[in-house]
Amino acid sequence: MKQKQKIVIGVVFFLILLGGICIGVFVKNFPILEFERKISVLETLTFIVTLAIGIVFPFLIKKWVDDNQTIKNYLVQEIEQLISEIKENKTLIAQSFTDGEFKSSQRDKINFTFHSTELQIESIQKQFEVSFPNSLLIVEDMKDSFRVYKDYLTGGELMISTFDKIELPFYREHSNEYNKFESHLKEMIHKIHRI
Amino acid sequence: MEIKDKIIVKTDFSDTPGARYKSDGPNSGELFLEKFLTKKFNNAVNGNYKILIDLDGVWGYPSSFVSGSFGKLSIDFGAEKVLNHITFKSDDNSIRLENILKEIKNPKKKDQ
Repeated sequence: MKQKQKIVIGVVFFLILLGGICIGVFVKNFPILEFERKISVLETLTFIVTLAIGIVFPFLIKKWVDDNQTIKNYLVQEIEQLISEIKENKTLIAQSFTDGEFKSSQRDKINFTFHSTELQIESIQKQFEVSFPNSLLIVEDMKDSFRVYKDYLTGGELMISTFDKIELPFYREHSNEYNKFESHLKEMIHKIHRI
Repeated sequence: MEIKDKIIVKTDFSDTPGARYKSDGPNSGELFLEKFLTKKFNNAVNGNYKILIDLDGVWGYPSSFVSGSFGKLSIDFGAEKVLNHITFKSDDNSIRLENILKEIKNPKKKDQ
């Protein structure tokens, strides 16, 4: 049974118990109960507001909080997928470094990975625009960080056709640049939870 | 301003754009600039019309290609003039369009 169902059943039982107690008290004290025919507007409003809070808080506010959390969890999953996607570059560079060879097809693969990553960033941006339009700065920061990493990998020597081997300095430098972007994405997960 | 000319990168040039300079290998930004972009852009400026550049269907645009083509065009003619006479289509991917527009507005100068 899901947590939500358990909560609903608990609330229903509590209401039934409360209803039973009220009926019991009412029946027991029925002979001495007297209704006040003159009630003030203020008291009526207080009663209505109290009743509204009693209904709105558990149902609407809780639903709003739950919905927000679901959207945040979904966005976090998207960021995790983004990390997993961009990690393919790191794996490819590491493999190429071990093999002592960098092929033209691997260059194309890196470009395609960036293209896929851009599509995922676009999707995340659209979801932010719908659900958290006031927090779009988080996405802009991510795009800046992405551009720095992409410019490093596809804006330099790796794109030159004679680049056919990953040397240690390049491997190290790439690891640093990759880690900066990955760290930024991980920080973004924390920022999403704090929205 | 009316669109009177078009470049479809995938079919007119290549679906795997390369590096910055022609000496860097095939399908470079410099080759694209010389073969298509500068010529069509000059015609558009002289004829007072726009050209449409279709970016779709390509396996990613390396930063060096973007810098060697659109960035260099912006350095040569100025961002405002370039954006006045070029419009882009990128239904596949809006982020790469943002990257290209950023490069045009703030081109990175590279010395060969």
